[in-house]
Amino acid sequence: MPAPGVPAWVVAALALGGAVVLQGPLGDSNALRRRNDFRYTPDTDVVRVLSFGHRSTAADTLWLRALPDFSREFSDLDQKRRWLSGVLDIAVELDPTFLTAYTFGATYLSLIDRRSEEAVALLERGARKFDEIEQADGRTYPAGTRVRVELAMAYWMLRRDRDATIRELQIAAQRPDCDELTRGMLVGLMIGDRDDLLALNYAAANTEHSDPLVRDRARLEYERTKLRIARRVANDFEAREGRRAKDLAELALGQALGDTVATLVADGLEVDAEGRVVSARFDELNWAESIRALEYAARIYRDDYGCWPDAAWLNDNKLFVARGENMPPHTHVAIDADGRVTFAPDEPETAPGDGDRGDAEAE
Amino acid sequence: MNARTRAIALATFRESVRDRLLLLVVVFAIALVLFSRVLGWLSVEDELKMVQDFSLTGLSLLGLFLAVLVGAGSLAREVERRTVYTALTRTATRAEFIVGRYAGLVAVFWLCQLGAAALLAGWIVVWGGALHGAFFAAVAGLLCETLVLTAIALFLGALAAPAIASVGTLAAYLVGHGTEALRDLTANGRNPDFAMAFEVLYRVLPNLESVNFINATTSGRPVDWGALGMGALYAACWAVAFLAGAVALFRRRQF
Amino acid sequence: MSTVVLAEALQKSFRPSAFGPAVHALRGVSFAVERGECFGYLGPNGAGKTTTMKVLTGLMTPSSGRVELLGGRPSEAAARRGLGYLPENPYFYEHLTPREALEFYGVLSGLDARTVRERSAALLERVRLTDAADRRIRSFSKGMRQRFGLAAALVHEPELLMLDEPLSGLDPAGRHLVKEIILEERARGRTVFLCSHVLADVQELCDRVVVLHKGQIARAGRIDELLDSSPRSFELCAAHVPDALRETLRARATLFRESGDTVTAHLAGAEAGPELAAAVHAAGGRVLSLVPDRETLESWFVRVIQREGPAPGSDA
Repeated sequence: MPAPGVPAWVVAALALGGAVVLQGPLGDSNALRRRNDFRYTPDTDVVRVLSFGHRSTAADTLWLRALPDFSREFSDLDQKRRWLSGVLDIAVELDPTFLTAYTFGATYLSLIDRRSEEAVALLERGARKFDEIEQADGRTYPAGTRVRVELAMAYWMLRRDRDATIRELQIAAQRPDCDELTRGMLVGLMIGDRDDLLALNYAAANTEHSDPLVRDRARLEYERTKLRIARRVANDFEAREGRRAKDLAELALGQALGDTVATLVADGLEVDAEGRVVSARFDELNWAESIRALEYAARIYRDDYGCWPDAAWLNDNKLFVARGENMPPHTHVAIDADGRVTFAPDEPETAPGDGDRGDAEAE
Repeated sequence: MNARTRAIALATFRESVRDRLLLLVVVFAIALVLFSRVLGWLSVEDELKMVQDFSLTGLSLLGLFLAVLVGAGSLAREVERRTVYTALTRTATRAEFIVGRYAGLVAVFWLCQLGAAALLAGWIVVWGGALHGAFFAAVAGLLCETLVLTAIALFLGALAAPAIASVGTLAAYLVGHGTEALRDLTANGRNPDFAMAFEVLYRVLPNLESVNFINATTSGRPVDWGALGMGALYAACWAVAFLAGAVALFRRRQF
Repeated sequence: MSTVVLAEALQKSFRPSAFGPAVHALRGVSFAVERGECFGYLGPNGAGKTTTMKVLTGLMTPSSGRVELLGGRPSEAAARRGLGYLPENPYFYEHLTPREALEFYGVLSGLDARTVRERSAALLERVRLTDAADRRIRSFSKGMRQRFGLAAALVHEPELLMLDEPLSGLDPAGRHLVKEIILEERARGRTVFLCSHVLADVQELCDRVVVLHKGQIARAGRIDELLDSSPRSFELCAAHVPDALRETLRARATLFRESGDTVTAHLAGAEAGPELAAAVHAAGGRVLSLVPDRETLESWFVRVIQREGPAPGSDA
């Protein structure tokens, strides 16, 4: 109680000052305590009951509680492992569609905790759960596709299991929401296995899609697939003959690939003067995609800095787009006042793309 | 609903809407919806999942708080302030009074929940999310839950003191969301000796999980509208049962 | 005359706690209120007045005995149609305005909303609340609440008005207004059942009273029959009184005052006052006033209660 004659606000200010001063040392002490904090990992069934029907929210709460601990240093590493494994287990059990728990959890387990098998097991569990849900609901979910793709990546990177990777990618590629990148990955593996017809088949999946953007990208990937197959044959030729083929006929695609595949692959391809297999259709689609990517980058730049980027920024090779096959030869990137990007012909003495062109493989 | 019941409902609605306590609860709900966005930022991905999960749980808790703070003490407040004297000495019956009061309270609670749900829907759309049917099913389920909780609060309010009624309503919420555990305990042949007892308990306790569609919302899973309809009917059965119980108790009440 | 309220051998017992002794609030109360009369229901705190009113209005059921309200049982909604009840210290929905609250009570009494709206303005004017018609009731003073309570009791033009302490908390102007309204309603042929501690008002307004004491009726009857109408004493005020007669007055008075030429004497008994006034007049003095002191309801009530023994401390 304030002594008589001392204004109450003075007492309040002094008390508040005391609290502010104490908070410093207390904060250090709290940090020390937190560092050695014991984490209780509850039983899944118990959490399920105690969530009182709000299982998804309980999973979120647990996840948010554990999230800082993924990067925090624990004095007892085993304890950290037990705790975070428990969190991942409960989170996906309470909410089987918790995509982040699968993907982030698997990344943490494999890259940071170096427990590859647990990462693979977590993603396998996710794929299984999504299978059950999708079977029950009679439809597919983008998150289910994402888990499949992550699982395929885990098989590839953590187990070096090519068959399992292809199997998962094949499942993912058959789903309506599979992106072209994933399909491209599958196609690449199949070309390596010389399973060309199937590769072309997968690549052709969305070439007649109603959405022009999806269709153009699918067609680009299809043309890229053809090019990759033909270039593989060309490389084989060069290895065998010690020189590059002069034209397509000399490559004898029918002999190397069989008539059906050869007919599909040869459509629109030619061999240029330097003996490289090229495709005008591929270039056209590829450059259009480059323009789209550059315009997207320009929009992000404008959102961040409030103005369109200048051409120098767009021509910087750090933007992977502005190089090699991704732009027409002897051109550079130009941008107008409305943010429209074009490839402008180089001046003879300043040719930023010159020399770069053609070096990069399409793969 | 006759004119007298409507008049009681309208007076209850006006009275509650103008009450400061209600304002406080609504501010809490809005704060929760906004705060869920912060939680979304804290997560690695799945921001919208976090926003939806926490907000919908907040809406459920909003219904619970309203039933506990406003509903459970509603009848006691009427008796304590003697407003009931001026109402029941007219041609309104005690049943009309209870039903009118219930209708008024439910209308206010629904208004609060729908307001918060609209805010949440706006949030989701602004942040680039899609409003699936599951979202609307979850909100509809929450409204059904409020229907039952308000009836329980009034029933307990007619039976016991407001503090006990509040605790009872809270307990009913927890039990209502926990009864599924009774089935889990005997699933796959576990605890066979208790199977019958648990099954009886499972049937006779109000199961709020029957109208809980929150968990399916965030992944946008398809809604089993038939199950929602049946759940709504189930909730209505419980609401009528508790309301009839409240009327029976209130009829015996001596003021 | 027909009976509007009938109570026959009413008994009401409570058990305040589960294991405590029963409290008998009413022990065989019987009375009848006839149409058109103003009936006073009196009693000290804890006598059972409020309990009786709750039983009569259907808020409570009697433990035994028979109650009739406007020809039916109070628990029947139809019987309550003609009842206008103003409880003691009434509370209303605090956040409603008088206009909204009147609509609420009107509809609860079986009127349609339009009729109530039509009546509201006149009724609020009658209780002097027109200026506060759109303010919330929570901002009202006790007197304003009381006046609004009367308006709410009158909204459906009931044939029986049951008023529990209608004058409490009112300022003099408010008391006058409420009394005026009660008298007007009576003049319109309404029956008034009045429960009040302010016995001067009861005496002014009521024809008949019942005095309740310890849950039983101690006295009942018409006020003019219950009170002794013969004067108990006189106050004589006179001027120019001869000295001899002045001394006689001083000797016989219980209280004697002189102020210059004027004397005031309190004279006990029914005869001394007129007799000495005549003597003053005969002796050439001037009688300024001769005021008889008759028994009031209040003094009668105190006498009755003292004879019946002390009352419990609280109202039942």
